[in-house]
Amino acid sequence: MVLTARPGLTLTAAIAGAGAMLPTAVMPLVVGAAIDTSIAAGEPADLAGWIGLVLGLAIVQAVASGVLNWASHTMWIHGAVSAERAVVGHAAHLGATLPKRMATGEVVAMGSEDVYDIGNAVETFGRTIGALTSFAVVAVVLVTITPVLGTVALVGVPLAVLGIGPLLRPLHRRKEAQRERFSEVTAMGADIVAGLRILRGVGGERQHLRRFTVVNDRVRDAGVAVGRTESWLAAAEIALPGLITVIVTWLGARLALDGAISPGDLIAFYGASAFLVVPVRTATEAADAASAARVAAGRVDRLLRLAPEFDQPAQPMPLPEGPLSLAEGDVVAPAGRLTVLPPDRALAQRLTGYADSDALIGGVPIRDVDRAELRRRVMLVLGDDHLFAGRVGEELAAGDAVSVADAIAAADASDVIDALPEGYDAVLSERGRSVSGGQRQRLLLARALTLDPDVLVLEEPTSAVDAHTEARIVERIAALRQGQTTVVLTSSPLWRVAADAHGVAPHGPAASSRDAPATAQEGAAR
Amino acid sequence: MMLPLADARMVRRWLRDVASRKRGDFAVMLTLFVLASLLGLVGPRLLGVLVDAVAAGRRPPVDVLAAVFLAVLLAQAALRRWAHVRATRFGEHLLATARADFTEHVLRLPIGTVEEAGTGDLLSRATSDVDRIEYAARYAAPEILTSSIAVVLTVAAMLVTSPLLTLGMLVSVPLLMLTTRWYWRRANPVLERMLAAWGDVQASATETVTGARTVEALGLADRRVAHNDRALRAAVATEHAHRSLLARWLPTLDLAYLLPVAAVLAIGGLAYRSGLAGLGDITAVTLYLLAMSAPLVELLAWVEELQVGSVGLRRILGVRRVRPARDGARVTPSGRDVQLRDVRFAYRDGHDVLHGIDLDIGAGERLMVIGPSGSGKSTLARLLAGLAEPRSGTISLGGVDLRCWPHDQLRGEVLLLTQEHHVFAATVRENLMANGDDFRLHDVLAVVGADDWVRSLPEGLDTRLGPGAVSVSPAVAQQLALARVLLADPPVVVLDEATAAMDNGAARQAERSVAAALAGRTVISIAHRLDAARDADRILVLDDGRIAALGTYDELVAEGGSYARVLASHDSPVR
Repeated sequence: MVLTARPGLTLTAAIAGAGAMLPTAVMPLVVGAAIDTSIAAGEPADLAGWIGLVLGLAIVQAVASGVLNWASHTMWIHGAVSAERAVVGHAAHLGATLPKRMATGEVVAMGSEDVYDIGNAVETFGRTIGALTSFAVVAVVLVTITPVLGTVALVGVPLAVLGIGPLLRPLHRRKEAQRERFSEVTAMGADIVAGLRILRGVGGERQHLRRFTVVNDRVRDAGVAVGRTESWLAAAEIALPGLITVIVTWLGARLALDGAISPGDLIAFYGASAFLVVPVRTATEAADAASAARVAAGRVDRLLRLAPEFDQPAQPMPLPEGPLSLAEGDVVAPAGRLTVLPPDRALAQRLTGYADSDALIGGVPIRDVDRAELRRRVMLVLGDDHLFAGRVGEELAAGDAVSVADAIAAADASDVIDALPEGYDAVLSERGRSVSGGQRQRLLLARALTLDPDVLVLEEPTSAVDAHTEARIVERIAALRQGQTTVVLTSSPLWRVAADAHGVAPHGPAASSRDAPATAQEGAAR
Repeated sequence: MMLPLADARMVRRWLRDVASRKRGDFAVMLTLFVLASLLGLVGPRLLGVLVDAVAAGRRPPVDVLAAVFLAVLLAQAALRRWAHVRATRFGEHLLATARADFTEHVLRLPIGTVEEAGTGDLLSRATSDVDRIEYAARYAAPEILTSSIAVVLTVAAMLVTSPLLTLGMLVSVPLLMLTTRWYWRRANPVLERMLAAWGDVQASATETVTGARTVEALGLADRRVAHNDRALRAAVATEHAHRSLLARWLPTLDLAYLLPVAAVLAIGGLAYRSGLAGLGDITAVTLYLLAMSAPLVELLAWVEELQVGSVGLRRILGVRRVRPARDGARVTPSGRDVQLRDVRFAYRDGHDVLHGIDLDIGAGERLMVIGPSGSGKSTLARLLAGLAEPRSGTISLGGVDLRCWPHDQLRGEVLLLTQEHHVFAATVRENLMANGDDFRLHDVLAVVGADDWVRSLPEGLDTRLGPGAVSVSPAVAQQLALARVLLADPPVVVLDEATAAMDNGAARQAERSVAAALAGRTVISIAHRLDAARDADRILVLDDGRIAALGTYDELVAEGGSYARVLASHDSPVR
């Protein structure tokens, strides 16, 4: 897909790949011929020609390798970037469905590993073409000089290089198993750092250092064992291709002594059999990269195939104004009022269409409502919602229906902004870790308020703030959302006081709601 | 504040120390690599001998020579294997030492330093930087070692074979030196920016993925995609910069190893005519040249990884430069009264968060601190626990200024428990960090309300907790943290929202039983839930860094004012 997306680039990579490897491939042949026909034969005039050829080849290779690198790098960027965009775009599109269908860690790993694997496979394209071309050219030349010797080199070298693979596959597996232990010690180090305040505060350093030392030594020993396993690979990489060079040299020497081939041919064979390892290894690496990319692409593909949990209904209905009810006639929250319910996330999700249910809004089943409209007008804000890194002012302005300043005032968060050195321009760190729990909670609330949804469902919006602040927030939100449907799931008494019991509380004594003063009329479109 | 980096001298000294502790291993490893490389040079020389013989029409014992060649090859492979084993042993020793050193020093850091620097920095040192040096030590260092040995020995072999022909090499020396220096000067800053830019891309993607629900709820999908695109564009820009550097530098590497071939042929032609070099010498030297391209390319390719690794090592060793926590002589306090005199504190110059607090807390008193968010409650808690020092004024315990207490002695006296809870990936017992017998542990767990939970675990106190094992809810994490403090049993306890993650019922229950367990201790508790206010001896109301009111519950209610109303609302029969 990536290869065909930019055919010009792909073609450039292929040509440059050949150009970057062929000169090195034929260099032993050229040197052999030069020694034969001019140095040994005492023809200095010819030598200039040979030297010119070497120089020419050097320039071709230099230019081609620059172009190859440029093209391969471009292809890598193209591959990795388009994969990354696909992953992030789809993750954003899946929304709440994503954590239900796939482990977050797995999706994060796609962005940090799989997309690079995909890029790496695309990047090897040019070099692989170069490897195949140079192998073919050297093959033709060698077989033309002496069929026997040529065949030995051509069959032997790939066999030797490829032979390392299956020979070491069991070793490879063992190595992978041992490798997994390496991450154990890193995880433990991170754990100690994360809990450092506790360790330093209460005093468990010695105990935990002891635990760390045990794991650390075990990982070191596992590492040494991996080294022992790998050392066979290191030895085989020398011995197997070397064996072919020995055989070629031995046979070649006998032929040369018999006068069947020239000394230059002998040099050419020796150099070529040493060189042939390079294209074969390049091809093997490309195959490895391709298989890693296949696995990575499989993972990415599984993500891309995921569809949002709730489809757009076949005949989407517009979302009416009206009360929220769990079933026909079972009104949970009347329209245009503030309703307080006991904390119950499952209930909140059923009411807002994040979980499958028979819930209705204004008498229309949620599952029949146009999804985009539902999400735009019915908002569920949870306590563990994500505060994204970035400039506070920008991150809070999720919508423009209510100004950030008004939302901040309603969430009683002006002091949070005032305490930041650059105010609205201050940069929040990842997940809002740079602010305290109570401050974070108020910022989350303010962000939701800027969108001014028709139905706002809040889960424990003030659990981390003091009673004084909570009282202010309750009062201001009740005022700001006058005439709109607001549901707060909380055990806080202050919210309950605010939503003083008007009408029958439908779900036990814990729920209560307050008539919205004046404006709103149930069911009427605004 | 950033934690410091180690300088190059510190890194060198550290490496020397580690190497000298394993001097034997190190020497054997080097010797083996050198021997293996030497044997690798036999091939071209042997071919030179053959070429000479053929040219001279002699008949050398080809079969014997081939057998020698084979023996040399096998010996070379065996040496390489042995060298590899030694190299990993040495490398793993080095890595284990680095990791252990780091953890040991981290565990000695003063808490104030950790808090100022934030755990993020330390965490990235403990993970990404450890990964970087592992990659460098396992892959880059051995490759660079073998390649540089190979290059040096190959040049030496060329010199031994024919100094005259080796002159051909000279054409590439200035080329290689100039262009490589040119590249590295420019590449380093580009690489640094590139790593940072891809880090941003990952951070952005991670946020979108982990916050996927929020993205849907607030309709932020387009914004997040745009955010990601911006980060990607920045990363691609650095990739382009790196690409154009590479596209100019790499061709010179090709020239650097092909031009000498032409030079050797030219010199060889002249030398052969004048009898200064044999055909065998020319053969051997050109073959050496061609063989040198592989280690040369490896060398240059891995230097980048080694550089990344050395930056990682500098960050890891950097924690050694932080002065460890105070370890002075033990102090002898008289009594355990806590006294604050005109205490002022600022996180930023000119922005005091506490404005001259005067307060006396008697031994065994239960003091509750309330006040709006941002009024300085948590700051006061940290100052009381000695985690930060007042900008001016003094805090003393038993008449001794907290600044004079050695860290280890002070934490036996005062413990701060915050709502931040961390569960170690370890057993319940290890998480409690106490050496008490099981009865005591279960008793304390019962006090905080977690004993039933622990007893329901498959292996009780020895059950492993944390990721990949038994997961722990925030409420239980807080119960464990409370238990930890009860087991440590210090005379003064500062609780900062210590039960915020539990639901109201459980929190009240836990607070009540913890209060009973801490009878006789000084307990300073900061809370936004006011249920326990009646049980406190005194209540301190902080507002904007000043004491707004201080007195018993009844006094405060009688006095009226805003806090009286809040207190009263919690007594109202709404629930």
